[in-house]
Amino acid sequence: MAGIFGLFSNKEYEFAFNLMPANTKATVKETAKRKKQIFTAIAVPLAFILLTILILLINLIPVALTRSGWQSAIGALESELADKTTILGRVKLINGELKIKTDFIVDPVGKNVDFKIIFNTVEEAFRSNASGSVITSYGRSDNGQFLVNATSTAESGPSEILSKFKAIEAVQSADIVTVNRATDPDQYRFTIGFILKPQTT
Amino acid sequence: MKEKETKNDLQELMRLYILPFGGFVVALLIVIFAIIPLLNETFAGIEEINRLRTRHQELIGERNNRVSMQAGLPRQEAVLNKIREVIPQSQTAVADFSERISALAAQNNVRLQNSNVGESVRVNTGAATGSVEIANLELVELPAEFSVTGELNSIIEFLSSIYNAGDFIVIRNMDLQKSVRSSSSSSDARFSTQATDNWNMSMTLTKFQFRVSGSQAEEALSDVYFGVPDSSRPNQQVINFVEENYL
Repeated sequence: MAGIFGLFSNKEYEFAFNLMPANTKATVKETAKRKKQIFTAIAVPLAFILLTILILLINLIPVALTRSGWQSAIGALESELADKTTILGRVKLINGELKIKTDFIVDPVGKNVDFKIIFNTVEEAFRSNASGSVITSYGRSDNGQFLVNATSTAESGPSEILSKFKAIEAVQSADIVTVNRATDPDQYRFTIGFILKPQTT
Repeated sequence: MKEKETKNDLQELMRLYILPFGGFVVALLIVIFAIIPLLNETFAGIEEINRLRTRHQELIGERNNRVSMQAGLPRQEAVLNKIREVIPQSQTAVADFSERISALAAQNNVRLQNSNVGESVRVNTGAATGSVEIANLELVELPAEFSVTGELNSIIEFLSSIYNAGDFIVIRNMDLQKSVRSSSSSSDARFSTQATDNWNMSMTLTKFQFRVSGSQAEEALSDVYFGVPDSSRPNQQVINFVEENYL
């Protein structure tokens, strides 16, 4: 293309004469194969990575949709449960008020007793006693314990009455609070304190 | 020629080492900055879904629990209404209470000697009763002291009538003694000779009422009631007591 004069130019001279031996077919094939391998070595992992990204991105869609579905279901349930005006809200409100108020009054309720039960219990304990024990007074202390003051002509009076109290099923606990001996007349004065079982009150 | 060889060498080097290495670096960067965050996001999303599912199950459980509680609602409302009636809230029930005791004494032939009503007030907070901590609700005790005289049976009937009068009045303390002028010759003082005996009794009765303390409106109370977990159940002893005595 450079014309006949081009044969004598330095540049043409350089390109015109190639002293390197021409590549054999096998070398050319090998080189092409190597190029292909290099391309494959780069392209395949990259494609795999891009495919992974694509899959992950696609996977995020159902994850987001599922999450959104659960969130809206939870939101609906929460608003239903938090609404005081619905029947379910009213159930919670009543239960809460009842829980708080019953906790407040559990102690007074435990102390509220039909006194007929108390007098019947005392009567049962003193009925036909062998020690000649006689009731002199009744009482109740602030802690809810019932007290019976009595006199006895026999030394065994307090223990006899106490054992009778303890034998009564309705009595939770009974104790002798005080015992005194009076010389004139020869009497034993004693006080027995007892508490009834909760179910009997 | 040498330059061309060098260039070819460089191209070969580029093709054989730098390009794969560059590809590897790019891939690594993509893994670090794209795949790992995406994976994290995916796992976080799955974790979030699991958390939401658990929360949903809890809410379903709570809802089912309330549905099951719904069956007992009329009973609970009846008990609560009775509690509200016998232990009123933010009302002074003392004057009425004293009159009721006087009437009961008269009905049972017991003479009311004197009474001392509304002298002191004892307050129990929720914390004191072991209840859920409620800052603005108090149980107020209104003690009233009474002295009465009468026959033993009349006094027993009087005490029993206080219990059965349909109001919640607790006999906090009591002292019942034979009057000094009475005589007892029998060993069974109560049942043989006491029919005509006079007995003196001093007692302290307590009426209760709920009070909302401070400036908190009752509206705030409903939030407190609503905040009680569904799993918390009212005290069964009290429920039984109210049902047996008032309903």
